[in-house]
Amino acid sequence: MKPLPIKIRLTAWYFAVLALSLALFGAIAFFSMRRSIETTVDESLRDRADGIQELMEHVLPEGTERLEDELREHSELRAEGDLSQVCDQGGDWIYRSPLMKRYDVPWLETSSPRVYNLERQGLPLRVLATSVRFADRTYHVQVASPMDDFNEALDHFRGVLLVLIPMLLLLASAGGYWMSRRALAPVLQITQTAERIGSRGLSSRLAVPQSHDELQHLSETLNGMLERLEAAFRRITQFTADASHELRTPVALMRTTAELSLRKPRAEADYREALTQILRELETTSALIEDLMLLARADSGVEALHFASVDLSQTLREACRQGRVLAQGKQIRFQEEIANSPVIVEGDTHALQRLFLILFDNAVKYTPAGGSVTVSLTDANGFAVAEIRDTGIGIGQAELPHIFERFYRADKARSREMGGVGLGLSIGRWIAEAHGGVIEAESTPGQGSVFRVRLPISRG
Amino acid sequence: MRVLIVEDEKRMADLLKRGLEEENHSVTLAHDGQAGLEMAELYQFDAIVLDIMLPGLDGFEVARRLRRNRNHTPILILTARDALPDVVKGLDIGADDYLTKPFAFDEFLARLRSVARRGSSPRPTRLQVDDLTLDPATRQVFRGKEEIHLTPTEYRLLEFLLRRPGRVASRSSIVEAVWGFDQEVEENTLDAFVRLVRSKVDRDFKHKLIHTVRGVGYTIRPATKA
Repeated sequence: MKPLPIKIRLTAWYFAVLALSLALFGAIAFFSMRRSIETTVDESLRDRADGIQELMEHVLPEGTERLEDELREHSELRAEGDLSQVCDQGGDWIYRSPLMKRYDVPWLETSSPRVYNLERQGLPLRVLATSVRFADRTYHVQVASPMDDFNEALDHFRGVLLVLIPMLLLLASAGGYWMSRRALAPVLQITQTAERIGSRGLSSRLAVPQSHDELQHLSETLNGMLERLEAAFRRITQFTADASHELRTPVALMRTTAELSLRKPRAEADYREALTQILRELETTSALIEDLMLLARADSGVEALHFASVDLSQTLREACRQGRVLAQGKQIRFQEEIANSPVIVEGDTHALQRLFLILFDNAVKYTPAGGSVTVSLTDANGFAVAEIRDTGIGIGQAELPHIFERFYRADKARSREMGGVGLGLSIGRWIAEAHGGVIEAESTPGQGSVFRVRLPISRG
Repeated sequence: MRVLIVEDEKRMADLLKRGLEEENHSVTLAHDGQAGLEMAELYQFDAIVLDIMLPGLDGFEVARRLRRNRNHTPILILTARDALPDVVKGLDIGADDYLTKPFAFDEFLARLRSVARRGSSPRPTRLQVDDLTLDPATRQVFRGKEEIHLTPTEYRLLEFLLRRPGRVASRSSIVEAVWGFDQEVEENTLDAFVRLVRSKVDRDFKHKLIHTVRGVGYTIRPATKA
């Protein structure tokens, strides 16, 4: 079953809670009113019984004969509707007021005063029965009060409650429904805007109500989320566009090379040359695809690093062996300033070697023959700092903040000739950050660049 | 034919040069935007093959500057950028065709021949008579620096006249072009619309551009020739 809308459910809950409280209120009001009426009636009955008892105690010593007269006199002093009767222990009437006689209230033997309700000939009566002991004889006294007026008032009160409570309930529920609709109206608005945003792209934002409440907070939170989504979406779009461009270029080269060689018969050397070209292009393309896959896996969190305690100085020295080969190929001096004492970090050896190789490759690539590349390892403030310093062409101030961005290349034409695609430093940064470290670059154009990798030294 | 190739990817440039030379074309290479622009302005080419992603000036800018300097050498944009906004931008700037990499070499040759057929006659992206210009890409009309706002019918009328500057358009040809073949439009209506267009285009200016040719129709021509 489809759940009901919140405003209906809120109203239903509101209705239920209110109905329960009103019913409880009605019941308590009704019963406490009845209770207080009965208390008042009982008090007056007790007073009257006490009066009769006093009278009897006064008159009895003079004999039973006078008792009837005195009782009648006493009874007739009260308003005409007096209800009182006295009998002896055998049930013989000593006195019965006329109304008592009319309603024929039976006598009741009781040792202690007792109040009870009785209905005689359609008239509700409240009766107090008590007994008076005198000279070994027990007399039973009953006084009564008609309850019809009180009951009528109570019935009327109950009637008012039974009409008023449902009316209040309906009115309050309607109010509750209206309020929940009002409270939820901005939610509807947010939903509609959010739907529009879905269809129109991520650049629009929710209108933020200046209500300083949960809804403003919700709108702001959603806008923040949209902001991040849009940024992520833009990055992905840019990355996809760049990746497709980077893939199209070598594919175009390979295709055109192949098509041109096939256009007419050629010498074997020409075919060989074309195939070599295609092969070389294939190699760069494969490397590019590998890098793309690595970054894609890193982005989706699939690329797992295997962390262990690693001696960074040893890892760096091993990487330097390959770096030296790269440098020798270009007549560049390669210097190592790495102490023999171990520097232990938590890391993945292969990833760290890859990171250093990327930096060596980069340094060698942009350093002219005769220059130098210096690698050093120090520790400072709990961080191992690997520094790769070159005497290359350097990086302009405008480009420096972007060099770790994917596919960013200061000079695209030159970089491609050197076999770079602009992903190396992005991968390097990912490796450094996956190790809880940072990678940074400084550069003076014309004099050279410094790349610094800081990794936290493990304690333990 | 004589082709200028502006391409920063040297191996691609060399390949294109070799391929075109085998087809008996003569090829000049430029490896960045600035060099390409200078070559194109210095020498007469039958077609220019232009990459977009170039160091310095990009291909869009090269095309824009060439057209702005009234150089109408046919341009074939050849790029790895295949996004629709790039294609539209390239063509609206004044390039004649747009081909994305990777491409079939035969198609490249055919498109090159096709753009070269257009020759270097002026093909401005904006229609212009005197200081009245109309840009079909943005549908904006300017008289001097002042933008003129036209209703769709007025726009179609003005565009029809501007596409035939100096030539007389008969009333019936204008009615057909502006309202369509199957519409029954009184010639009075046409006259009314011409009055409307004139009130926006000509009334507040010293030189009147739209002229009535009695018994035939209307024409638009620069004021100096009148």
